[in-house]
Amino acid sequence: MSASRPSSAASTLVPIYLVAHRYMLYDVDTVSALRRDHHIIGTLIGTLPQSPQQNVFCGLPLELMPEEARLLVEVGVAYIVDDVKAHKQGFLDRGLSGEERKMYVNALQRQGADAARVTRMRAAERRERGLAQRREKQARKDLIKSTIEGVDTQTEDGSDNPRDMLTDRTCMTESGSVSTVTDKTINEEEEMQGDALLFTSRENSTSVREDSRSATPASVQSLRHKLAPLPDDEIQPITPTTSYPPLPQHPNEDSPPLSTLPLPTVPTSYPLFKFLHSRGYFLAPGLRFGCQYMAYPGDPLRYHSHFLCNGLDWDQDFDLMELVGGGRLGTGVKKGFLIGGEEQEGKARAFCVEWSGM
Amino acid sequence: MSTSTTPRNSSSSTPEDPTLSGLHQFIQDNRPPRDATHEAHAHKLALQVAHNLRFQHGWTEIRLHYHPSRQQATAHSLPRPVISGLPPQRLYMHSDEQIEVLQRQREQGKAGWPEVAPEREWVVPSQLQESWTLRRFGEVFDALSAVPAEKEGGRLHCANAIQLDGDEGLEITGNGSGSGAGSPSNGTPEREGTVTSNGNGHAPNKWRTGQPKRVLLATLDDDSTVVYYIVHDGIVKPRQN
Repeated sequence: MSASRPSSAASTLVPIYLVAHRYMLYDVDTVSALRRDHHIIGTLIGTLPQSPQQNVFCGLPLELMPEEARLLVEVGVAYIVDDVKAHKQGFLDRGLSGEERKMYVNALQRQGADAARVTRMRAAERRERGLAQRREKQARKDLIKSTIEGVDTQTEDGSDNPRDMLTDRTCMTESGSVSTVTDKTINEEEEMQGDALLFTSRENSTSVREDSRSATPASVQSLRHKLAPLPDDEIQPITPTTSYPPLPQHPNEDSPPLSTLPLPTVPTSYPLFKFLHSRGYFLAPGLRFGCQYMAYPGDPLRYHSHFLCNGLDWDQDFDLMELVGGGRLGTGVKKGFLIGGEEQEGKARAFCVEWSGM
Repeated sequence: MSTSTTPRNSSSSTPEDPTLSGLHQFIQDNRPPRDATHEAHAHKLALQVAHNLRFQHGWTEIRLHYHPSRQQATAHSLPRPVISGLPPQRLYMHSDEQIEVLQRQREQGKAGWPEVAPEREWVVPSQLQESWTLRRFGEVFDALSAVPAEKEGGRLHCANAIQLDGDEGLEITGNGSGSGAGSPSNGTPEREGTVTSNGNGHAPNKWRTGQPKRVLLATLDDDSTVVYYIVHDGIVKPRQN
């Protein structure tokens, strides 16, 4: 039975994308609206590009439990879309015209070119900074060496006279680095400044000259880089994260419907899920505690969970040991153990277990 | 050494057999009432749990129930014998009630925790290897009232019960009205001088009647230890522990 979309609310229905038996959402506005209005939280599963080697903090896309997806469809807030089929239909069958497709591809290429330029600029800046630091470090080292040993290792023109070195330094530096040199105490910042000037002003060789030119403000350099055309192989390939620009997000009614699917199949704990959800609880997967759901009295960002939940059939057998295990675990982590199921059609009943302390 | 100082009702108890353990003797001394339909093992299980309540945890006024409560019960039968009794201290206090008590203390300018009267509790005996269903829990709750009535249920007999400060718990029936354990079940109120537990003469605690029903689930293990869990008939947030 395919879910029928009410015509009046067609524009506000949210598509849930079914990709290989997982229910996904890609839009941040949808995700926040569901959390705010329907207290459905899901699980963020996307790796953050800024910190890819951890999974404590994740980003979009959001994965929904089958129970959550089914509840949203039953409540009339969302509909399920077979993502693969929708893409095939959207791009190939009903399709973009040749013109649209060319535009889209060009847009992607432009994005890739911009990204490549930005990368190149950043690399150049990093190189500059690295070279400048190396120069300063080297100059400082040489200065220390020269003041201690009296050996001039810097000058290119072969001038070996310590007096010349001293006078040159007094001319070039702005701060009183002479005093620092003579005192044999080195104020690092002043030295760096002085040495940089010393080095740049004394340059004679071409390599030094080039370095000084590249030490001019980076903006000149970046402008030159920006205007230069990029070779084709440097353009970065862009993989778009959403298909919304080419595909319409909410198809209108007269266009043939995208592949809407029947209600998701859910485990037997679904009646308990629905019951707790109707009481305003936020439900998250309970794998962490060996149960099916964790029930939060409010947003998980603000509250700890109150219950570890297991949904059962009303006549399903379970060992008392499981109840005992759940009850003790719950008490140990300051939560209640909740079991429940559908007593009659549409009516669920739940029991909470905790250790008595006796 | 057993010294029975008070006369035993001769029609109920078997002669004391020194080879039997105290528990075994106790089980023998308490036969189920004639109109109870429960199986023998269910009855013995209940007796074992009652014995544990009395002698390990010091509960008093322990009674055995074979029929649903007269009030607030929607089921027709009690699936297994159920125990009710009075714990020595208050066993369960809801977190919100705790807050209320503390606020009242503050208003009255007192510090610390006040004396709270213990409340009568239901105890459902079970064995740890049993398999249950949600339906069973539902049936048990449907057959019980929110608060165990004081006058219902049958008393138990213990040959060697030591009287502790006028403790009425497992009392030795001196009079002839009791004819077997669980003497007159449910229907007739006890005519002995029943001592009402402190505070139960007043209106029941609003926290008791306003909150979902609760029972203590006693689980007996093969090594004869009994562990008790509180089961609520509804969604009740956990206590701070």
